[in-house]
Amino acid sequence: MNVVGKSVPLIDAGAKATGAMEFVSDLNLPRMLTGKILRSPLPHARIVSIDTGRAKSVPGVAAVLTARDAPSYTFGPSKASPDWEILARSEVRFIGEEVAAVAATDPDAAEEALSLIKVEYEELPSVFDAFEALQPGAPLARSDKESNLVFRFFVEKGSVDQAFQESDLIIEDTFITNQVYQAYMETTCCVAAPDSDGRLKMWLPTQAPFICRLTYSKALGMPEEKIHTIQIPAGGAFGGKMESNLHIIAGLLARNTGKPVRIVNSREEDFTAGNPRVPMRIDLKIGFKSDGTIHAKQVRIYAGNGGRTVHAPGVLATACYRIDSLYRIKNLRNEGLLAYTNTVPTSAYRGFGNSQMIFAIETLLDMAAEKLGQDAGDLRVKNAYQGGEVTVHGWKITSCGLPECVEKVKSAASWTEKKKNKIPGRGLGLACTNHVSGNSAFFPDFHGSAAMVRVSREGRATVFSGEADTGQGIRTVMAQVAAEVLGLKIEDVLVAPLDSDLVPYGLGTWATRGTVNAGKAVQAAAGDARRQLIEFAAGLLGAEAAKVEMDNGFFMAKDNPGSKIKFSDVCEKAVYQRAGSPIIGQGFFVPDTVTPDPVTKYGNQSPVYPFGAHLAEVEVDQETGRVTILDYHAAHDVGKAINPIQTHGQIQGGVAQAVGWALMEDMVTAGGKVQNPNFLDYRIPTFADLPQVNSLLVEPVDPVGPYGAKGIGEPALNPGAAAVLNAIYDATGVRIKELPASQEKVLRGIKSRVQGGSQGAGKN
Amino acid sequence: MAGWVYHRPSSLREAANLLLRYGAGARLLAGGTDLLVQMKEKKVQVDHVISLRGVDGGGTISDTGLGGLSIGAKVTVGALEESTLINSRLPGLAQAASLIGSRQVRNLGTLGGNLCNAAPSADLAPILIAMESVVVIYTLSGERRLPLEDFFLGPSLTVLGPGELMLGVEVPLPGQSSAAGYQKHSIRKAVDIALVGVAAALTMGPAGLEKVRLVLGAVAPKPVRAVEAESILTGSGLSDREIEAAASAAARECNPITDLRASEGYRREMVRVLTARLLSQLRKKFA
Amino acid sequence: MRQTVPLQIEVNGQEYSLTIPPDRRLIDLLREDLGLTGTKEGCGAGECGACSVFLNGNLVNSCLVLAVEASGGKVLTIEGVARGEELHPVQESFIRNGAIQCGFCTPGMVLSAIDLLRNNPGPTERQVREGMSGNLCRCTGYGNIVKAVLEASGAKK
Repeated sequence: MNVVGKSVPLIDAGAKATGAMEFVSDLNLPRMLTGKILRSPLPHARIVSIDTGRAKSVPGVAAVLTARDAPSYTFGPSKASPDWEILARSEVRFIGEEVAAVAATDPDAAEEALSLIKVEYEELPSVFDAFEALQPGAPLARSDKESNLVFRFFVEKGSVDQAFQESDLIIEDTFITNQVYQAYMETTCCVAAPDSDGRLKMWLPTQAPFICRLTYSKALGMPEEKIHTIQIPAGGAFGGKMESNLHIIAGLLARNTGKPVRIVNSREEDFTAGNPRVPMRIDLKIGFKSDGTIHAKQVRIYAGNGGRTVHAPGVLATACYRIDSLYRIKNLRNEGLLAYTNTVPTSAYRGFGNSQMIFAIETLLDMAAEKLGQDAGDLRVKNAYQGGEVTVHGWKITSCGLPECVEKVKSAASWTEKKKNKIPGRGLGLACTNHVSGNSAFFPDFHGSAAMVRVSREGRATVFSGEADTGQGIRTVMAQVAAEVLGLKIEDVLVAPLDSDLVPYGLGTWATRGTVNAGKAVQAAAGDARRQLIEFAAGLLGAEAAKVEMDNGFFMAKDNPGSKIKFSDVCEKAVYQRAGSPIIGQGFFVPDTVTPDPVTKYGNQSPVYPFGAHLAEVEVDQETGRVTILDYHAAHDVGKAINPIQTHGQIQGGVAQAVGWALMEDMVTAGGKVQNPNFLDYRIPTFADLPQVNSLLVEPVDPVGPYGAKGIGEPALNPGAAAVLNAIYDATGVRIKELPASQEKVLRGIKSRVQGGSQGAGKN
Repeated sequence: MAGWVYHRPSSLREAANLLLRYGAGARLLAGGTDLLVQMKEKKVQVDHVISLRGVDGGGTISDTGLGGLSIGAKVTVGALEESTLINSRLPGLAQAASLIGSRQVRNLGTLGGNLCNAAPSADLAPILIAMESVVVIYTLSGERRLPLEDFFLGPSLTVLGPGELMLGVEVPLPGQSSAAGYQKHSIRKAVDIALVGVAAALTMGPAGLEKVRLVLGAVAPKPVRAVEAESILTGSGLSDREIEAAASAAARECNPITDLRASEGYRREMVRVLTARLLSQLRKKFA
Repeated sequence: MRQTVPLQIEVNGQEYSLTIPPDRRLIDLLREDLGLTGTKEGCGAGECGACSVFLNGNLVNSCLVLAVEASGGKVLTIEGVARGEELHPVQESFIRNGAIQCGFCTPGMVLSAIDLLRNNPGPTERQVREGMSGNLCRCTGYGNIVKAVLEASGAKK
């Protein structure tokens, strides 16, 4: 292959390297106003009154809006729990909730107007923790709800209780995954402008512009077709840039003022009013046979939703049962409880619940391996599903490279030697993961993707797709596929702007679905264009289409190689002879997936399933508890890497986020208020906190994926936290089950082992 | 950030008069790395910003004539890090400077700003105090000097009175057979605030340490001298036992807080660990 | 009447003469007044490095500099790095080595790399990591950036 499978720069790398590429926060439209949001300072309160009189008279202020200026119904991205208001009507449910919005000719006027809005609150009792929120007598986080339970997930298979009785070893423990922040470098923002044709135009740096539009049209009381969305590649997303109330508010202000409005979250606002990871308390119990096979699994998860519902229900469900399709588990009881809390609404963050659960189970498996006297890697591989199997939930594992991933990282890390010759203070930790490349449960109405490929007169191609780029490089993958199918150089392929007027309906990039779904769709569309070109060329060559080949920039008849036409000549003639009509290829990919049964949860949820294994080598400073990552190996079954250098980049980026989560990231809250809404005290890894990560690709070439490809985005993060904490255990004997493994926690564990001799300090 | 008046005095006298005139709502602006962040986070009420850009002087590092160095308040932290004079005569100070923030922040932040901002966790004060620095203050009625040790009163509080500005510090020449250094413990390996900072300046004599100054940062409202630790070390040969005893003493002599960065207990323990490590590190210079 | 101050400043070799409010930050001057949006704001508090520019030859966070304080000075932003169509070797190395994903940190990152190599033409990996630690990236995990910088320096990894 000429383009697919080659490491090529992103098609917009040049524009990014020179600063020429415009992000939404760079857009500058004539007469554009600056929008700002007044946010609740209290976690739970009744709104007694709002006085905007003085604010409205600040020079330069074009609008001051409250709930009175917005539709009065609730809406939201969650069908089961549509509990959003554009601006709080009578009650606020988290610090940061939107109470009023201002648009002004300059930021200072907007800021001044905000400061003059007088809101009278009557504080109500709050609850901040999911477990506490579900105890009898807990205060209601929302007075419009009867209870704090947002959603309960439950599925049971086999005979769990009997299976536990039959187990030779049972390990039961509680794991806590804390709330962390995606920390993308570009904060949440939007530009919205009323269009001359009566529609509302919205520039959205989001992962899913079409899905957003569904919610926004309900929110604003406008038909979908009246909202014209332009997706601009975002400055990072990682799950946190799906639907945002900020976008809706920008739309409301634009409609109200008749002018373009830009709203950009400050970093502090983005911390306090973004969509961080769903915090979970995971009570996990697994029964093993003496040979190490998992015989029974029981889990109950308490998860924090925040004050309104974004995607936490899906996250919780995923946490409950996705790993049942990683390891062969036939007897299981999974329960998840999602609770309202008076905190910032939680949502998707790379891993979508699977990362939380992987932390729990990969830690528990480490504990089991030790108790059973088995190698940590062998224990995983023994239990893992293999290619060709169908899992307990009906997931069709079309290929599985997990054993090779485990083998590769162990070999790269010299696992066996290092385990034999332990250096004090150093340790190795292993963890595995599965994931999806698409999720039929997330958007039941359709799965898959569609594309169009237009070939121009000069023989260049343009790809039209609704799948959004947020820096992960999906536009480049699509260009590579189109180039490969059409025999073009990648420089001759453009990807059309993601304009809802032009591109096919797209679900967007989440659930690691981009490469597989968009890749297959573009492959089909480019294939259709290629067929049309071959037919036309056949006509020109006077040959049968079936006997015409396309190779190296030429069309030729198989049985008459001397007779050939240049690709670009065919394109030109095709366009001219059909009065300017371009060649338009259309194609789509409908994956072999079904929406899972609502009760049994049974059904193939993703076209293919990626797998991975991480192995961290750490050194722990025994006097300070500080953990240094000496080495890190991450092997991923990616099916086939369409763009290897970018695949490596995705793996390394996921590892970095996992290391941050493992060691230093924590949204510290008190009374529902984020105490560290800045990069000074919310620490993400810098250059100095990581080594060169050894990313390794395993390519079983999946029969379903485009050119055999699977996704990589989320699995790249999933196993990291457990790998690091398992390594800390190996180095110190301290078992930490609550993230992050801060240096204080590690040191406390070390000291208590020295003093008390018991195993680890557990959670604190 | 709107709503304050910008002044650019062209002399110290003018700057001092502006400070006097506008009182508590006036702030001096040098590098801006502290002030701009505080204003953005609305941690201070500022009505007048008095820029030092137009005031000549204060930007040099020079010999005091007695081998020591005179460092102007406007010298950037980056310049401290890279100065050949400082690296050759006061390497501990260059090292402390290199641990502050990021390269970008070091290119803006100044010695004067770092000291006058008087954050308990600031990284320049401990080593400068350990090296017996003297701070030089401009007043309208003439200069005054005092030991840097006496300059700090508490978090964000110094002895600077109305109408006074810091001109710089004078650091005496370390004696023969001296060593000084600074260790900082933070959460991240780079670009982080000190949870604990320990500085030491030692002078070795024929019968053991003749002079010991041990200064702890980030573990009290202002930098503190660990005097009990110092007395354990004075006259000692810096044996392991003495280092351990001094480190334990230092851990008792501070008053750290529990905040979202670390607990009191952890900070205290880090004082012990860092003190021991710093002394062991400096001991090598006397070998 | 709000206070304004005169400003003379050279940006990417071009002289500008403006009147601005004193609280206008250098980053706002560049992005809003001069339309040079290549410099990005990631945090506004000097903690992420996305807004890095050269001011009088020194790498600084433009969100921490009042524009008026830079009056009379010379600024170099990402827009001034390439010479027309010819990219800087650091930019080319970034592109070639997969050191760019979303691109938001990239302008600041490129300038930081240029600053590092100017002061240390043959850095070790560790020196690159420590020297550039004032620039945060959330997409790449830094690995390909380190490779790109080492390659641009001509050093073998």
